[in-house]
Amino acid sequence: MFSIKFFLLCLKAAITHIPQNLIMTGLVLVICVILGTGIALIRAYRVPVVCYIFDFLMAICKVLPANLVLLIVFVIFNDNFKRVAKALNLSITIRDVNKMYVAVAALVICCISGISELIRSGIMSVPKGQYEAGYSVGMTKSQTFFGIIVPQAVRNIIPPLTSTILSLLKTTALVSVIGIEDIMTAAVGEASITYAFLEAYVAAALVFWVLGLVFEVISGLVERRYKKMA
Amino acid sequence: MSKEENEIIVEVKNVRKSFGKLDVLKGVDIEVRKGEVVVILGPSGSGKTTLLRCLNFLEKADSGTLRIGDKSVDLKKVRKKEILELRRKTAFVFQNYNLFANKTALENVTQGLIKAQKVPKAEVKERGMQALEWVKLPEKAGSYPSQLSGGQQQRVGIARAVALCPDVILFDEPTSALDPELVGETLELIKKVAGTGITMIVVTHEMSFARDVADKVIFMDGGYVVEQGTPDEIFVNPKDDRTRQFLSRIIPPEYSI
Repeated sequence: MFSIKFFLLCLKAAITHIPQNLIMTGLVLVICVILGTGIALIRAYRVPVVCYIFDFLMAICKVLPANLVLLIVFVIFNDNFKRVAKALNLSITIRDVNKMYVAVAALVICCISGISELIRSGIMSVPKGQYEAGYSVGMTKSQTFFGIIVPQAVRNIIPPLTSTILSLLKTTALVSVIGIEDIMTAAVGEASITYAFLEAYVAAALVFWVLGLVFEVISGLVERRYKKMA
Repeated sequence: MSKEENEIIVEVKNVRKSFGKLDVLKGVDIEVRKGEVVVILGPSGSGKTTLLRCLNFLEKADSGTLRIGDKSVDLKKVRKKEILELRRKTAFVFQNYNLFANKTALENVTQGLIKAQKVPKAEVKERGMQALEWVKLPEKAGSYPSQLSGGQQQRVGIARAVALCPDVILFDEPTSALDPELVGETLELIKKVAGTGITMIVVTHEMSFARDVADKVIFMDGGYVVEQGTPDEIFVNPKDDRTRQFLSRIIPPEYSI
């Protein structure tokens, strides 16, 4: 029997952990966009040697399942933390580090190739004629790039990026494999006392659904704004 | 005509360019006097568009020399700074318009004035609007290129070039992407540009335009300048067989002068 009482208990626990998932999503997104832009530029403009290294790394990152990456990064972190801390003369123990940052690192590995690829195709889809037009009116390369190419690339990138953010948010539900408190683990944690697992899962699902819904609305607004400018 | 005594403002000597194994320009010399309208004709693959793009460094020529105004460079070892300097003496009108998609018509016209020529803000808008009025599109100042027809976009493209007040405007087949019924009005506008006395180099397939407007016609084929002269010399009495052959194909006998 589905117990509303237990469901509400789990729901409350899940809701209190929303910030955890949002912070992880936000951090991963910011890091991926910054690093991803760098990688995208290197790959789009075929910087010698380095571009091949990134082609290779991105191809690997793309195919690894997220929970596997989380586990690998976590194990590497656990095994090497002491040594690295010692080498760097840091007087902190592994307990002082919020494991969330380990998860963020792992999720960056999972998401960077997708986001970088989005940015790359956004840049590449700006026609060559736009560069030529910029040069033809006497603008420098950087004036053309930042004034003409980047704004058009951003407009190409925003719509697909919103759906990537949504799937990133869902991926954060996997961090429980390395024992981080999040929406999922909080809801299930309540259930382990009462054995009301269905209630717990439905509560977590409800939270993700509402988050997704809010996000869809926001991204819809953003997209409409950008369409108007074109 | 007095133009014949004008100073030579564009001088191209022995320009060569190849794309990989394909030699597109095999040593081209041209001279353009101040205020002249020079039309370059030739079959596709003759190198005429490449030549035009080399003048603006949209393609980098392999060797040769280029002088525009008082600035002369060896194309083999031209520096970035010199490229910028020479580019700022020219303006380009593209076949596909190439308006900045993220800018309004007015911003398209003023972009070069603001960024390259550093014209004071107060003056920029006025000059931009003047240029748009000149091409009869002042009401579209706030429109984005995607909201304009092809003909309107090309008129903004021409306004953008004219507003820069360059030494020479380069036109690369400015009407070939247009609907047939818009070609006429665009050619009229280009004639109007010519009427202002600005130096122009036009690559086109519009023979009647070449005949009416050009001071000099250059016929190119296979990477060489085959023949050049006044429109009458080229169209009525072409000396070279290749020119004659080309013209007979383009202008059916019953329409030729």
